[in-house]
Amino acid sequence: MNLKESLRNKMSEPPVNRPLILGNNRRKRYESLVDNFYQDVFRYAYWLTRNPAIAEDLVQETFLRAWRSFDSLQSDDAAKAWLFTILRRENARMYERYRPELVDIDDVSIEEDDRNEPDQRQKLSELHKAIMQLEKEYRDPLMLQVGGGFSGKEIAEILDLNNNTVMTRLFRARIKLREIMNPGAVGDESGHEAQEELC
Amino acid sequence: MDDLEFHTRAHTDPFDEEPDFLNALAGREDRHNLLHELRQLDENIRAVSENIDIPVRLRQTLAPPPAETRSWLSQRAYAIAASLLVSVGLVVSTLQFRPSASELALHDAMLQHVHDEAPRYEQSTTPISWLEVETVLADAGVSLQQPTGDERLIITFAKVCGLGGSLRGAHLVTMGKNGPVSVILVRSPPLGRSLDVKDSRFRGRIVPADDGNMAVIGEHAEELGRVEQIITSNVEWSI
Repeated sequence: MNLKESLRNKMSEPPVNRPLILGNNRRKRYESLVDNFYQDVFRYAYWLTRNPAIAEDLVQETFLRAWRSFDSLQSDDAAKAWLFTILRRENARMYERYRPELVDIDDVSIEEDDRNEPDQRQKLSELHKAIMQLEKEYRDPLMLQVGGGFSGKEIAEILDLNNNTVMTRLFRARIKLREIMNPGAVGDESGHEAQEELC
Repeated sequence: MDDLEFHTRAHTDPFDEEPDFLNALAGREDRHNLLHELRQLDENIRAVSENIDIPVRLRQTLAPPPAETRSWLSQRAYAIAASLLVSVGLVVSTLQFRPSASELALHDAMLQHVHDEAPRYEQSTTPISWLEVETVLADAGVSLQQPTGDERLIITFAKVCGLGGSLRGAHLVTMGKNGPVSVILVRSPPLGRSLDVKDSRFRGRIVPADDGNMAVIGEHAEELGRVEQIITSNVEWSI
């Protein structure tokens, strides 16, 4: 396994490190799916909605839908992307059109992590806030790539965008994050302004 | 590879392992530094994401529905009854427990404000006069009696503040056992119920009052009940 694969896998490590159960036992396969992905699905729902209570409802609805249409899941390899797609669809159906986009919502559900030093905690807290400040169109692909471990092609399929658009948004997401975290530092780098004109 | 292409690809995927991308690092310390920074950024994003608190009972709620063994008729009756029950439950729970948009907006505005003001009020450790406190409160349309005896409040920060763009309120800071405690009094339509406030650093509660809302917010370790009780007992909303 190369470095890239190793890091990507690390980023999307399932909570219980076991393979999906193959075969026809629907209930066991579903339980295995839940065990492997519910934490990743919740985290993505959180970034999508920026609200833990709504994210929790959304995850429940997502897995209920997944159970009902479980037979349409052809390959266990595609299970995670399939769940994320259901989640996005449910979010659009249930919440997006009814809920105002709340700006500057803060990190309401970050756990205290004693492994981190105070400086590091502060830094992560600021980064959390910065991610929340990103426009949805940038936050979405970035969290799918970094948090979800999806490739550009998979992100394009989940978001129903073309690959170039996804690449542009990933580029801009990191530029914007760096600008939020270190105002003024990014513009001095060579190529930045030129790339901005490309998008 | 020119700088523009390297810059673009590094930002699009810092873990790009294509040979031409990796070869472009040779002899270029500036490119190494940029890539290191971007990879560290990704690691931190992942850490932030993994620190999101997963609701404790979430896994239990995701179990598949029980296997159906009833007759077609009873299944149908059961399904209708269950649907009704779930619908009523959902409506009730939605109405009762899910924060409304206005509650969420106030929650967010309060927390955001405390985060924004923390660097300033943390520098203010000298008690200010009650006259100054009263002036700020009056500007915000609120009055507060200074409690006596053990309940006497020592205020180290008092400002009239904008909240969430359109609200105006008084932000007081008193010292709790472990650090500063913010008290924010806002004249706004009272919420229908108290609302817990929590994020990685702060926690507290927004409490509706006669003509406004009051928030008491402190660091996680802080005991807030006493301050909330003192303020609730002594606040008056001006016309």
